[in-house]
Amino acid sequence: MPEGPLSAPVTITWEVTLGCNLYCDHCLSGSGPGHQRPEELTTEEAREFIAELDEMNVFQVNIGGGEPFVRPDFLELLEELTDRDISTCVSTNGTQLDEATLDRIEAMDPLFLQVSMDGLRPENDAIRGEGVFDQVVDALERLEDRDVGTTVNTVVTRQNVYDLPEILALAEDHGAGLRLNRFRPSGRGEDSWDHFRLDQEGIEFLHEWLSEHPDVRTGDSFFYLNALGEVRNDTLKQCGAGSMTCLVDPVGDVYPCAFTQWDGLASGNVRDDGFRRAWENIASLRNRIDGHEGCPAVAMGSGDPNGEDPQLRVILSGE
Amino acid sequence: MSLRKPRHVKYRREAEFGLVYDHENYGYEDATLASVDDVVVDVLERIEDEPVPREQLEREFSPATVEAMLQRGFLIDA
Repeated sequence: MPEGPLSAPVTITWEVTLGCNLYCDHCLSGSGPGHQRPEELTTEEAREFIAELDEMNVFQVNIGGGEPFVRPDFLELLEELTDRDISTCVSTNGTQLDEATLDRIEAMDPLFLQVSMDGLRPENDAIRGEGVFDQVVDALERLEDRDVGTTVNTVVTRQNVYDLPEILALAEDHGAGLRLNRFRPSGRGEDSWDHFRLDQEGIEFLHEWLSEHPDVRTGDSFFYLNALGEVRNDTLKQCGAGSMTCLVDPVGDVYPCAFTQWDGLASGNVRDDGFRRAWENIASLRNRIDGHEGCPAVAMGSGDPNGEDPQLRVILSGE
Repeated sequence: MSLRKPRHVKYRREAEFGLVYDHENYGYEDATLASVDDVVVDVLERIEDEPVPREQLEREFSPATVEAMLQRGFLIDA
């Protein structure tokens, strides 16, 4: 991996809206119905931002929200990205994917979809809302025959961790992959941290299960070790927040990552300063989030007295 | 045999090196990001617009460079 600041991020995450038709208990951005902010980037401002990303040669834009597809101009913006050959991956709750939308998505490339499923029906619907599980399965069924790379994205909680084998089977039955994210204390997750976070038994189960399923994708430095504290994936050890990647929120503020959207951690605004300047400024924030073992966002958000990622400590020390 | 760049491989120049990004699915965690010598970027720029016969690329650069890039998946048969 390169050392020192890059001229541009390798990838960015862009939360295009805080609007969402669902109101999930653990939402990392605190999104929900009617949560759109009035000052969210306009279509024209978003197009200018995309042009700047292209000019800086950012390789990939990962899109989240909120629910991206509730933004009326979203498909237009997605086409703007893919027409410029910027790789895209859209995280969606899976409830807005009608056939007309899928037709347009299928025509775009490079584009991947991540559909959220946070457990089997009871666990998923307890978090995401009544009936959502069935809507997601319906979307996965309709995506099966489409030429769209699809992954089921599961935020692992203490409620769903033991269902991972069945979730993986369901994803594979629909020709989709599985990607796991750890539940982290940001957005509404700060309030529900103690309710959803994995306990030691769950952490050990998760890592043991992962060791038997190398095709399951993972993110975050938490997963660089296995249950025995041995290095499982060295590329995850380095947190890329603010060095290889960053987050742009719906109003254009730039943060090191999706999980560090706290006061004082924005490096600039794409509308006011331009993205290039915000990226150049972000290196100065690295010392605010460095120095934490594991994921800095979990270390900071969990309020750990030692300033550490407490779940990583469980693996390292068994405590 | 003519060679081209796979669609999912992206590259750019930094001040003192090149970057090659080979993504499969989501973000940098799932992708391969390689810091490469400038000559690798030179080759990728050479084939950006259209496939180039392997022999020609080997003459313009070197057989070892072309072979290494084929092995890494940065070049494929057009």
